[in-house]
Amino acid sequence: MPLTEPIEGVNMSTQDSDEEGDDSPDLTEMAEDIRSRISDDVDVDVDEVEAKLDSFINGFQVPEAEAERSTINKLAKERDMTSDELLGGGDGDSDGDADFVNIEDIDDDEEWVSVEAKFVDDWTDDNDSDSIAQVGLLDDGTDRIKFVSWAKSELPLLAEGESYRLTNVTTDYYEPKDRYSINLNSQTEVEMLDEDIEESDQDSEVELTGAFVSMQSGSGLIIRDVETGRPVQNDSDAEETEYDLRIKGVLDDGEQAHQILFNREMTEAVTDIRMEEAKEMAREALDRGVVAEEMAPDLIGNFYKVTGRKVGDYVLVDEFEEDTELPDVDSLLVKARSM
Amino acid sequence: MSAENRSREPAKRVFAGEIREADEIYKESDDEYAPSYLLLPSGGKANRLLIGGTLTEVEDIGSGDDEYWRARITDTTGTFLVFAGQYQPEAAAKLRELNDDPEGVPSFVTVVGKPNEFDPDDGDTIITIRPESISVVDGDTRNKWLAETAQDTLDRLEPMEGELVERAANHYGSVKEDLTQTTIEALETLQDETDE
Repeated sequence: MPLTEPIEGVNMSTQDSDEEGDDSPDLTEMAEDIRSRISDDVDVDVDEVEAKLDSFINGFQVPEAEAERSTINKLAKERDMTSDELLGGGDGDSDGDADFVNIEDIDDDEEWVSVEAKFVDDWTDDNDSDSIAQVGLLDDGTDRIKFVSWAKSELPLLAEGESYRLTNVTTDYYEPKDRYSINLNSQTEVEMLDEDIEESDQDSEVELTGAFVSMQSGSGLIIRDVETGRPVQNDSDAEETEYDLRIKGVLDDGEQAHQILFNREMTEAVTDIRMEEAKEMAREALDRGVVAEEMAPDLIGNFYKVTGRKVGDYVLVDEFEEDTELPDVDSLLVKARSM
Repeated sequence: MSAENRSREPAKRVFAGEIREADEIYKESDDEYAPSYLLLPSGGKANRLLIGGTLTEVEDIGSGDDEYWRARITDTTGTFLVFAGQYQPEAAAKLRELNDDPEGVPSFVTVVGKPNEFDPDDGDTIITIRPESISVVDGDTRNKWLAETAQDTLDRLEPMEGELVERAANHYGSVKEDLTQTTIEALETLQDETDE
């Protein structure tokens, strides 16, 4: 309805004949405003935004502010994103793509990033969710990170062993396990690279937590062939042998059973049994095996946090501590009560 | 799949209250050596379990010289039954030791083991534990186990879809609410204890 009362000092020129009228919102303007708030990375045009606004406001009599919110929400959902991701994504660059980062530098939740990495480990077979097309591990030479490719996004499947440029992915932080992963979504571009990306140092430090669930054979007081350094049996015909202490065990976090290895120094520290005492035990019992038997109950059943270098199948422990840290019980209760 | 390719199955943290509802053990392939899994009512599978609680009873129910140990372990949500015989020598030795020790019962323990189906003549299948190791632990470790189990149970309960989620729903019906409640109660006991 056009204004009929003149307002002092204000020039009330007549409305543009194109406009719908003072009280009706200008959908195009609103749509343009919304579009400008949405990340450049996102594939959406003003017409689409306007159509949705129109549907909410004119089709369903939804108030403007609510309609704006609902439109953003709907646009986000259709693209497998949260509203925050839709609005906050990208880096504002005119080229529209999220910045390329090193995996080792990923330390923020819900960020748009791009990476160039090799697909080193495929875990898709172990995953039974229908909404996940692929899940596994990427390595860009600086570090490794888990990734999830959502089925709805219908992205090309990555081939294990190949290197890719992945543009516009989002980071995700999973508090219970204190780790990051990246999500490949409908905005992601997947490009296979000709070059082979070199994986990060296998000997890099890892930190593991879990319950010590098993002590494996080859633990306790062992004998090594001095020349080769390899453990040997009692009846070995090696020229010269020496004693050593070590523990080969399994640290299990409920998702994976990690093999860990304590060398002599670490074994003495974690069991409080020194080499001399161990040799004495073995002498008295006429059996090296008693040492492992004595050590096992002190370790099995306890929770540990260890750091070490991954060498082959084992993590060589260079630091450990008993882990009795509890997760935040209060927030678990909040979560459980809301389920 | 060769033995080398098969990596060790992780020990799933599961409450006694959930084990009580479980009764389905299955294999993913016909291969004789393929691992068998317990279908978890919360929506998951377990070949190996990490359970914990208070050892409330240890008894040799074997006949004659053959020892067959039965242990009852309660974790506030229910009771686990653990059986160790000649094929579980280390666990049997531990139970014998705890039986002989006047301080053995009650004590906090954790058990790593495999789920086992027991079909009594009269009545439903129950799942018992065949132990690989039994450890006496302190209060802090028992609390840690409880908290991890609550967290993992909630993580299994959360997703609405997925092959195992659907399979569990089809087989066990709607037990999610009950299990969520079980988890809440377990967390509340933990909260009471750690608030002191």
